[in-house]
Amino acid sequence: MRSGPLSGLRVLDLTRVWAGPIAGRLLGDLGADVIHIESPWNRGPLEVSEDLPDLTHTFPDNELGERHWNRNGGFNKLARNKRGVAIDLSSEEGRQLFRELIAVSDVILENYSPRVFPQWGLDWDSLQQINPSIIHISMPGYGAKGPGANRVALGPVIEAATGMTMMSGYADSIPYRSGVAWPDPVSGMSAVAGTLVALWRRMASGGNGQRVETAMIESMGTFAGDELLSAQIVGHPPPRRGNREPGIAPQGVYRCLGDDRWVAISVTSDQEWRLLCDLAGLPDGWKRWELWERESRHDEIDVALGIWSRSISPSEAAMRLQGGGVISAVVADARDLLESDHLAERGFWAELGGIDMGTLRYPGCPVRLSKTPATYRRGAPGLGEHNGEVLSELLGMNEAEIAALAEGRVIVDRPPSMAELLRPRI
Amino acid sequence: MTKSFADLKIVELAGSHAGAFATKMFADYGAQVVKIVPPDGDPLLRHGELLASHVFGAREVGSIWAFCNTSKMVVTEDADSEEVTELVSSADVVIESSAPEPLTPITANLHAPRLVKVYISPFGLTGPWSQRRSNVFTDDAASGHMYLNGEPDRHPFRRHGRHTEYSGAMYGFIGAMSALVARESTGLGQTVDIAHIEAMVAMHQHTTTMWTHAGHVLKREGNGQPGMWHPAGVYECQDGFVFLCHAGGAKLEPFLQAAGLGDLLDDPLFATNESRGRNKQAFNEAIRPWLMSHTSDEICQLGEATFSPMGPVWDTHQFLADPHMTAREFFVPLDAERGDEVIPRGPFRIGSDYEGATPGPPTDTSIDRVEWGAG
Repeated sequence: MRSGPLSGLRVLDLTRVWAGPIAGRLLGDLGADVIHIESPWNRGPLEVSEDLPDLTHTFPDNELGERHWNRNGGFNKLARNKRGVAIDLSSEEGRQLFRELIAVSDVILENYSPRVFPQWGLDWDSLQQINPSIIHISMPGYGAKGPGANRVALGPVIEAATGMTMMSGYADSIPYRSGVAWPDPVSGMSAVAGTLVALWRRMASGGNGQRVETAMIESMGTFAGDELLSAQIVGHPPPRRGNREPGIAPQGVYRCLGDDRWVAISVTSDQEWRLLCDLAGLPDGWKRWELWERESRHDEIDVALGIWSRSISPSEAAMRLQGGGVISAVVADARDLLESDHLAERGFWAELGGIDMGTLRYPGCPVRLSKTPATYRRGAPGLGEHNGEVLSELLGMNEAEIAALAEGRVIVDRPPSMAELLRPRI
Repeated sequence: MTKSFADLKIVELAGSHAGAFATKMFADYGAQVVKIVPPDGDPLLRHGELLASHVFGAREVGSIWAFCNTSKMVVTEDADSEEVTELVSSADVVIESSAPEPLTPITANLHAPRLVKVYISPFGLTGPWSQRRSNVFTDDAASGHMYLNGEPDRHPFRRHGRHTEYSGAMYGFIGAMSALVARESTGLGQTVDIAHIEAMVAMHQHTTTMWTHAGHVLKREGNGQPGMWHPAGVYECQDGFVFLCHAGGAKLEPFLQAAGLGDLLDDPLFATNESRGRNKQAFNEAIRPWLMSHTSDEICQLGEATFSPMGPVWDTHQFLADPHMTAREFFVPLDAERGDEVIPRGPFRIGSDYEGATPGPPTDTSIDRVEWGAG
């Protein structure tokens, strides 16, 4: 069986941060040969603070190790199944290498500002001249066109611009950001969806190149679609409701035994409410409360449920309620996820190492294909780990040519120092 | 020869909005989608705020249904009828979904070797939790996202919206397309099993990494970014809120200089990323007087001028009125003949000029009148 539905597809992944790299990871999981082209400084400078592991909690055993740039889990979790090539694209020699790689690849995935590719002489016409079948996926924050195209975007800023942050938070509080910079992975999914439609169009057209734009604001804006429509119908933006929701009551989280442990409960029908009353020992008289009464007495219900839940563990609470037919779940923390028997039994986790890493566990691929499943073929590459392999295999370069590129710092396998970074580049 | 995207035939048997959103991606980008709804009424029809409708004679439909079911042919028929089975057998893809109930696929045993079968449910088709019930609220809790939202000394809260269903849907669409690509070489369809919980866990930032790498359980940090990155949260200003997201610090100096707050960076408490990360509250207090004396527009203009990663905290109506989104024609009519409401065009654009999707209202039809296009 092949190594995945996209085996044979070659992707040049020039993305940074999160939205783009998670898209590249998914393409790699699905079998594509993903070549991650990094700038030499993509993983930061050579010198870092000794405190970095304690501040980030993303280094194995909280240790920088000899080559810290290859050990940051924040990068590595997004880089499996990729081959790593570190090219200085600020140099003409670097950009020439990139052009040669474009000529032998299927997809370019990048999340630069829309100004960058044209500045490099790589507008759409130029790309097509290099490779008429190329698929170019661009992931700018606000898109290439429009009066706000130059706004600088990171995920949380996008979430705030779409109205989603304004809806989130306690009913008595200011708006709150998500704990996770949510538009990033949403945009990453959208980029992969667009890549696949583009690939299909290319196949159906006999090989015509395709261009796709995944503006983060539009990916996130689409996820807000039903809320945007609702707000137009009622004529005003939705209020912040905390955990409550019209038509569902009670709905909330309730403190359980342990430190900062909670169970989530959502009652969507009168029948579920009666079951909850029995399971949580609520007064018999409450069972007849219909939705309107449960909504109006939500605070009172919350107090009673909190008294019931505080002496039992969240998993025990959720199990009892689930067993009785009430929708509920542990408000899981990271440890719960890693210890989940469900995720373990489904084989969700990917266990992978790397050149400066021991074997560790990472979230797997959520796309479960029965005949051409996702595969985990290699851990994250070290910086420039596959420079020689890729340039010889794809561009036919010999050892001397590759050594000359390394000598000229066009390709690297260690980050520049701060002094080198601050030196002006054209 | 690969058939065109417009000739792909998709049948939807959705018991949740996840399946509907997945097929919406096919329909809005031009494929042929038939949505089957039960004769005794679609239980999802009235979810959300109600608006006037012409769809299968209903007087009103809910906003969630209306948004998730654009551009489809809607057929009222029993899902297990012979006619529907025949229709599914002639399709390229069938998508089933269910929530909060566990999914028992109707088409699991259907013999159709080239058919791609996509099943989307809260916990997936296998595993010890596969028979549990869950909705978007408890999905958010079970997947570890809810735990991260809110103040450390208060309860966690959900991320607003239907993210767990829409994420499952997007992975379902990706799975369907991947399976279609594979079919071009194998000649065979396959099954795609999507669990909301796996979709969501795959989309954590540092949550699981911090635990697997350093034994650290990530907690809620209020309106800030966990760790050393600061500022990265919602800030009150004179007439509302702004979002400052100078997480890497690179663009903070020009922004503070332009705001007349450049001296702050001379203070050892705030001079570096690390020191700001250790003195978040003090930094917030130091910039608050300036923020409270400026409007959101003024602050964001300064942000744009200094290429700063920051922006407004808008409500839905402000986002709908953004001149940038208007110029991009991102919002398109839900049904131009029946109302003024608009919806987002779609999550990606494709074409030589990035034209994008063209969502339109669904159309009623009957199963004997479904005419698949060529291919």
